[in-house]
Amino acid sequence: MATVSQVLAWRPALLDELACVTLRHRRSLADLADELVAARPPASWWGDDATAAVGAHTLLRDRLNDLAAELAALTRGLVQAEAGSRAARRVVTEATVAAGGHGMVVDDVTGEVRDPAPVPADPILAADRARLRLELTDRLAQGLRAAEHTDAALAAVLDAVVSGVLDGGTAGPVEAIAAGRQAAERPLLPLPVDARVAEAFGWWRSLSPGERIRLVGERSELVGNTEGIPPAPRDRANRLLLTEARRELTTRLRELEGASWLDRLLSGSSESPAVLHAKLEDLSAISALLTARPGARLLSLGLDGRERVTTDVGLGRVRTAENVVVTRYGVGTTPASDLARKTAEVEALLARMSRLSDEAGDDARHAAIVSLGYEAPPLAIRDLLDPGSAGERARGLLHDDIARDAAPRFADQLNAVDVVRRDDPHLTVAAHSYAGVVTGHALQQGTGVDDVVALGVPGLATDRLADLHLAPGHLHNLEAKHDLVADAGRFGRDLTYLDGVRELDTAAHADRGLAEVVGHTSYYTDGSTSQHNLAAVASGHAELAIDDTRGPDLTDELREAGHDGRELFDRGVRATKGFLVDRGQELDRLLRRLG
Amino acid sequence: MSAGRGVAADLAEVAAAGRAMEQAADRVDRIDLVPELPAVAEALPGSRAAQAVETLLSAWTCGFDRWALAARRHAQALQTGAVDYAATEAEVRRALGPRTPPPPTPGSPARQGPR
Repeated sequence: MATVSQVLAWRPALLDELACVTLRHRRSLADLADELVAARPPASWWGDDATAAVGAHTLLRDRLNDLAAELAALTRGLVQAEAGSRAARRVVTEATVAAGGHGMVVDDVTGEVRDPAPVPADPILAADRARLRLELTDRLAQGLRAAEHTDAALAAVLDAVVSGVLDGGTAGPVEAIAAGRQAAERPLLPLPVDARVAEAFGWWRSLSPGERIRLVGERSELVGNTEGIPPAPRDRANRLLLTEARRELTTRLRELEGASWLDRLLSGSSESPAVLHAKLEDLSAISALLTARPGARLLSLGLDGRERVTTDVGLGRVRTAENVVVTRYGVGTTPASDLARKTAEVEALLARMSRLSDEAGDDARHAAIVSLGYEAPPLAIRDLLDPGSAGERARGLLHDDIARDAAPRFADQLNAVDVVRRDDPHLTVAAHSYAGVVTGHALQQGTGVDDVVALGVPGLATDRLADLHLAPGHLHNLEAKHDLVADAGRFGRDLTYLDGVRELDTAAHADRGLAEVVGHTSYYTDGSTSQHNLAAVASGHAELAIDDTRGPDLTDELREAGHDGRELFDRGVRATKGFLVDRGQELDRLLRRLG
Repeated sequence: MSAGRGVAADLAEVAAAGRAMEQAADRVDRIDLVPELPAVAEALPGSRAAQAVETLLSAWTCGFDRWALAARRHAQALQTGAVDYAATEAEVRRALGPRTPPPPTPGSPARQGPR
C-alpha cells in the first residue's frame, strides 16, 4: 500500500499522457477491421491450401482481437487510474495541508493525524481540536483507501492483460475493443460501513467525476441521505428520489387499496393505506415547495419513517455562507402540514439576518437548513391511546426516546455542515420545543455548533452547559409569555435557571418596531423581538440581541422550587401544564382546520 | 498452390488478400509501447501497478511484434503462392500447347486465371 508521501508524489498527468498513446494505438487497431476482411482468403479459392490459409487468417484475426481487447482494457484502466489517482491525491493533499495548517502532523505510513500541541485549557477548544484531528484522520484514511483502490484496479487490469485472460472474441477489432473496455471497468469504491461524516466526505471526494454522476443516478437514496456528501449532489439525488418515490408509493397505495383483506393478510405487509397517504401528502408538499422555490436544495429525503417522510431543505449557499442556521422543530411537525410555512418563516429570518448584517456593516452571507429531518412525535391526544405505532410515538413525547434516537443523525448533520467546507462557518441551531431535547442529545455527542437558540424548549436533556460543548453566553433562551412548554422542565432543568444561559427578550420593543410574541408557536413571527433576537445570534451579531431583563415568572418559580426538592409538587405542576398544553395545541389544530 | 483434390483460385484476389494482411502487419508493427509504459511507475510510485507494468513490458508488448511477424509470413505465403500458382498454370498451358479458347457464350463472366 502506498504511503502518504508516495500518494502525494503521484503524477496522474503521466497516466493521462500514456492513455492518449494507448488510445491512439487502440484506434489504429479498430481501423484494421477493413484490412482484416480484405485479407481473408477469397471464397473463390478452394482446396487444401485454401483451407489452411483460412485457418491461418482466423488465428491471426482472433489473436489480433485479443490484442485489441487488451489494449482497450489497458486504455480504460489508465483513464480510470488517472481520474482515481487524481481524486485520491486531492483528498490526501487537502487533509495533509489542513493538518499542517493546524500544527498537526501526519504519520506517513498509517495516515493517522497526531496533535503535538499541548491540550488547550479551554475544554471547548480542546474538544474542537480533538474533533478536527479525528476528522482529518478519517479523510486521510479515505484518501489512502481510494489510492489503494485505484492502484489495485489498475494492477488487476495489467495482470489480466499479461495473463491473456481477456478474450477479444471472433467478430472484429471494434467488438473486441468494446469487450476489453467493459472487462476493465473498475468497481466503485464502496462507502465504508457506518461511515463517519468525514469518512463519507473523503469517500465522495475520492470518486472520479464520472463515478459521482453514476452514483447520483444509480444510488440516489445513498447519495441523497449520506451526511458528508456535499449539498449539490445530494439535492440532485433527492430530486430523482422524490420523483421515483411518488411513483412507487402511488403504485403501492393502489395495490393496497385494490387488495382484499385476505390478500393483505397473506402478503405480510405492515403498510397501511393511511400511512402511504400521509407519506404521499408529505412528498407532494416537498415537491410543491421545490417548484415554488427553485433555489432551495433538497438535502435529505427519508422515506423509511414509520408514519411520515422526513426532509431537510437548504436555503442559500450552505457550503459557502459565513453564517448557517439550522432550524429544528417539535411535536406534530410534518412536511405536509408545516414545510411551506416554516420555509417562509426561515426565509423571513434570513432576510432579517441580512438586514442586521447591513446595519452592522458586514457583508456576510447567510444560509439556512429547514430541518424536518426526524419523525417528531405527533400531538393528538387520541394518538396517546392508540395501541399501534402512532401511539408508541405519541407516548414518546412523555420521555426522550425519540430525541435520543434522532440525536446521532442530527449530530452528523451538524458536523457535516463543517466537514464539507474549506472554512469553518458560524453555525447556529434554532431549536423549537421538543427539538431542544434532540439538540441537547446531539450536542452532547460533539458538534461544531457555535450557538444554540432555544425557542420554548422543555429542556436540553442536561443541566450542564458544558455537556453541550458550548461556551458560556452561547446558549440563548427565548421563552414567550404563556409558553407553558418552555416552563415544563420536563427534559432537564428549565433553561432560565441554567448557568451560562443568555435570556433573550420576547416582549415588544415599540421603539425598534418589534412586536411581542405570546404562546408556544409564534417565535418566528416576522417583525417580532423574538425573530430579531434569533436573527442577531444567527447572523453573528449577538451583541445586537435584546436581553430579557424581567425576572422569572410564577411557573418558572414553581418549577424551580420543585427542582430543589419538591419533586412531587413539581410533577403535579408539570402534568397539569402538559395536559393544558396538549389541550391548547389540540384546540389550535382544530381551529386551524376549521379556519 | 496445389492440392491433391485440385485447385481453384482467383489469383488476383489471393494476392490482394496477401497485400491487405501485409498492410495490417505494417500498422501493428508501428505499435510500440515499450518506451511509453514505464510512465505507470513514474506516475504511481510505490504502487502495485508500478510493479505489474514491469511484467507487462517484458511479456505483453512483444505480442504485437509476434502478431506482425506472423501476419507478414501469412501475407508473404499468399502472395508467393499466387505468383507460383500463376507460373504453374503458365507451364501447364505451355505443355499442353496453344489452344483456341471456345468463344464466350453471351452473359458468362470474364475469369482471371484457371478455375
